[in-house]
Amino acid sequence: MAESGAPIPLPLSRAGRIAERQRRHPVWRLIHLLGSLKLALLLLATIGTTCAIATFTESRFDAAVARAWIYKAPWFIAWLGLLCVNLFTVTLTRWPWQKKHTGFIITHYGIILLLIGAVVGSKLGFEGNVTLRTDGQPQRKVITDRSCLQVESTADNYLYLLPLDTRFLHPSTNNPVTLPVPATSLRIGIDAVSEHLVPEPRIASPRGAGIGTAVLLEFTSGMMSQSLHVGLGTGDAEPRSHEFFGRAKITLFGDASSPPHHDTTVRKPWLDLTPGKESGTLFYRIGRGSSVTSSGILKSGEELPLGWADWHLRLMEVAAGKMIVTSPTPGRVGGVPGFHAFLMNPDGARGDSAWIPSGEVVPLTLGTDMIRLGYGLELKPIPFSIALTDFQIPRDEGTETPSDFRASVLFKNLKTGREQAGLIRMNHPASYPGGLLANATGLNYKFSQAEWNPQDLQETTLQVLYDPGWLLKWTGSLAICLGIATMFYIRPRS
Amino acid sequence: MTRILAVAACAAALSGAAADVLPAALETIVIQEGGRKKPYLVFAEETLRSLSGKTSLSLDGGKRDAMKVITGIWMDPSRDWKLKELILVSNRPLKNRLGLDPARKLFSWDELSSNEVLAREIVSAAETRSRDPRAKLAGLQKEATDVGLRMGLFESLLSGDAFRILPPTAGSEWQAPTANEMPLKALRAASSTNDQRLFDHTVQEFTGSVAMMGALPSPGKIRLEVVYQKARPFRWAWILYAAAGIVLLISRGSWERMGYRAAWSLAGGGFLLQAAGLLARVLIAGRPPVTNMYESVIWVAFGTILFALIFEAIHRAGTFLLGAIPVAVASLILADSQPMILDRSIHPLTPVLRDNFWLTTHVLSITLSYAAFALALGVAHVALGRIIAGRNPSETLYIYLYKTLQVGVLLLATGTILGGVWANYSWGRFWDWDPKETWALIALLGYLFLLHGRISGMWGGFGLAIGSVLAFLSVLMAWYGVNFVLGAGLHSYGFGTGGFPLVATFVAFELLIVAMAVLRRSGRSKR
Repeated sequence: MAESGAPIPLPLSRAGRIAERQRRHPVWRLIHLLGSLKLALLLLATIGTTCAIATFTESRFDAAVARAWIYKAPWFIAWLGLLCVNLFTVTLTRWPWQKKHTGFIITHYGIILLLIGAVVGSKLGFEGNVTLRTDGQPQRKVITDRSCLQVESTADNYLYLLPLDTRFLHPSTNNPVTLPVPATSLRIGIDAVSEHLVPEPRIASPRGAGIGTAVLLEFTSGMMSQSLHVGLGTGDAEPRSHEFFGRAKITLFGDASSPPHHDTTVRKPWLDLTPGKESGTLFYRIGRGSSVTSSGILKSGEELPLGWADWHLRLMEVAAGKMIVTSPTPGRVGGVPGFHAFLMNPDGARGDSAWIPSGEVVPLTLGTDMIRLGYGLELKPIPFSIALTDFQIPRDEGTETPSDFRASVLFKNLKTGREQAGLIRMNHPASYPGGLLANATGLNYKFSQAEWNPQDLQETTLQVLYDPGWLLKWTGSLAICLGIATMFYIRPRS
Repeated sequence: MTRILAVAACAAALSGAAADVLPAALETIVIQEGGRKKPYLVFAEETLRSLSGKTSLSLDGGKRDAMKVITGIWMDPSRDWKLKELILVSNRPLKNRLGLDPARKLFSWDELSSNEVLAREIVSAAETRSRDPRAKLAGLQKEATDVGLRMGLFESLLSGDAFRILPPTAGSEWQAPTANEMPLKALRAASSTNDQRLFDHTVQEFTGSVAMMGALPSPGKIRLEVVYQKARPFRWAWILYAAAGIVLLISRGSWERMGYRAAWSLAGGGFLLQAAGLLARVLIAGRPPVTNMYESVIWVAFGTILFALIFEAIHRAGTFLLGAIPVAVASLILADSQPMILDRSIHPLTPVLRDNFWLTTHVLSITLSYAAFALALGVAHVALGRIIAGRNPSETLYIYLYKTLQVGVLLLATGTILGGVWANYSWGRFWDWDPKETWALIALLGYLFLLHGRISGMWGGFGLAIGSVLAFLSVLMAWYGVNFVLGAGLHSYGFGTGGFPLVATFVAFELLIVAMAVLRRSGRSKR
């Protein structure tokens, strides 16, 4: 490096000129700062360390956590952005370039291209999956891996999709997360989330006809420290029986006068219930196969040992002229993810709140305003349909281990009606529309084998990829490899 | 060779034990097992290794090899096999839980089948599996399941179901002959009367009639596998490498030139043997030899010697061989001595990997980069060893080290990117932050850090040597750690267990070398 204090010889050497412009010009000074090796070392070290921490995070928690906290976190993306700046400016610091810089420039630009390709792919492209059956309907939509909120506002009757993943929200009653309802001044407030929303029965006052007696039961086991609520009703639209973990059957009858016959061949325990003569009571019979082991009257609030291990039955409520409805409630295990939401107007007034489980559409009201909210994985329409015509799983000889998966599919262009067959094998995806141009640019839907169902060999799940960043990624990759090889092994003759 | 074995078999037959009738022809009988067809010899050795963790046992007061033990069970299942100590239980916590003698490794079927705690553990593991077929078993459940599988294998040997030597007339599933069916009936008759001639004759007739059905792999391929199984090319390779290393170390002064030539020949010989062994595996399996931990350890040892020989051919320095040999010898001894951690049997691949183009380009370049970094580790050992011994390594040595690192960086970058391209092509995503790919990236960043720091002058040759050792630990994490320690992610086909104490010892040893070199150097510079 030329020392700045030393007299500058004329004509200036290359190193001298570089030092000179750095001294004179603030832009060049900035470029040399951003393209410095020290910054490069700092970036390499921090990115490496962060990734290492992330893999241990993934091992301890799960991949989604590592993704949200680190890999997809804004600060990590920004850090990668800074890396790109460093990679670009370092090539400027060598200006004017000489022959010996060829490999160096190709490599550094290759990395930038690869990262730009990744951004293009994740912003403009999408990944999803589609489950097909050989005897099923052609599919025109794929399920993406992104959770989203679906908002239907009565103001304009449009359907809006907002990206939302409840796993990464941390709302509380005092500190709700709020989202604007598009095209209105209303906001959606979210004050709780749950990964385990389970349908919980309760007794409600009916609207309309076909109503009978509603019964709410609680089953508890001290040994298993569990309790289970079961709602049964004699109304038309209500469940009359409940399979108790598949081990026993609980049935509610409207009338005690004709006790049912139980199957003698199946020695499964059962519990029959009928409304008692006095209000607030039930008549019960407990048995196994064709034999009755006990029977009697159970009053509201009373508990009864069932003789099914240590499970007890408690009658919570029995009411004539009412019905059983279920509403999603946070539990400890099972169920679906969802959140607790309400509508808010700019004055801060709140409407009724409700749990919104994944896969359902729930209305929310505030005064005269009403919106419908849905939550779940985003469905993405594709401009063609795909149907599964055949699915084969060859096995390793003499075993049940799959050696390949072969899905024959039929693509159909929805505009022209033209059909095109494709074969998807492991490591050999099928593309639509296919062809050289589409394959090269990535403006192409690629279907590859993702999952199979050992219980149903007519079904397969395909991974779908639409990736406009494909060409950038491949070019960048090639540039990196060729660049490094050039840099290390091709020396220009000086 | 055949004649010697036949003589040995006759001698054994004369000793009187019925199970000792073993004609060489039996070795090449084709048997279907584990999703492929293999010679009986390979089946016997793999089966005994799965059952007992060894390829020979002391039984009936003498050492019996796998052929004898397995054939003995097949020929005379009514013997007291259930009382023989044949089944491996190696996990100490499991032995404590089951109330078994912790000092013993092998147990009889009777001991294990009467153990109620074991039965309960196996049932609970099966329940976990039936609830979620993809559940990963851990701890005692997994160990108990392994023992249960070994017991199942023992039962299938005793019932004869494991010996699937009859090709089907339709379909692909081979059958095992029942006691009343040929050739088993004749073989057992010959065996029980020690009729060597009848046994040989039956095997020959049987082989002939199976060959008529055209269901067999070529006899050449079967013979190749038998030769490969017996020849132990990788064991001879490390012996030759070790000899080359010793010659290099002891030849001094006027002997140095001759010693260097001798070392070249020895290392070259070992290299050719190893190449032949790898080629045999490629021909047998029909795919590149890098699909599990065992193969990758052998391959990395091979690559380390390959790069060392290339560099030696250019620079004639001796340092590359001296650096490569300890690494290669240690890897090959490890592969040879730890059959339960590094499984040497050839298995069919999972469908995801069945693409020879991508498998070859991606996996071979990644593992060759590991080899180059292993060579850099070896060269760094030489440099640090000189520092610890109180001498100053030459600048040339550090230049060699830099060149070795360059090879590794190019191959690791290429291999990692090829992995992304393969994934992008085959499944969609180019990069998914899967632990295996992330650790490959971390290792790459580590080595780039090392090289960039050297370019910027932040550290010199000594820093490069220290860095080559430390950065290799990230390679170890990508190679072994992700599969055996983290156990997460998509590269699950390479998952395994065990070997942690060995790896921890290696890491401690490397850190000790680094610490000693740093202390020694700072001590000298103060003086």
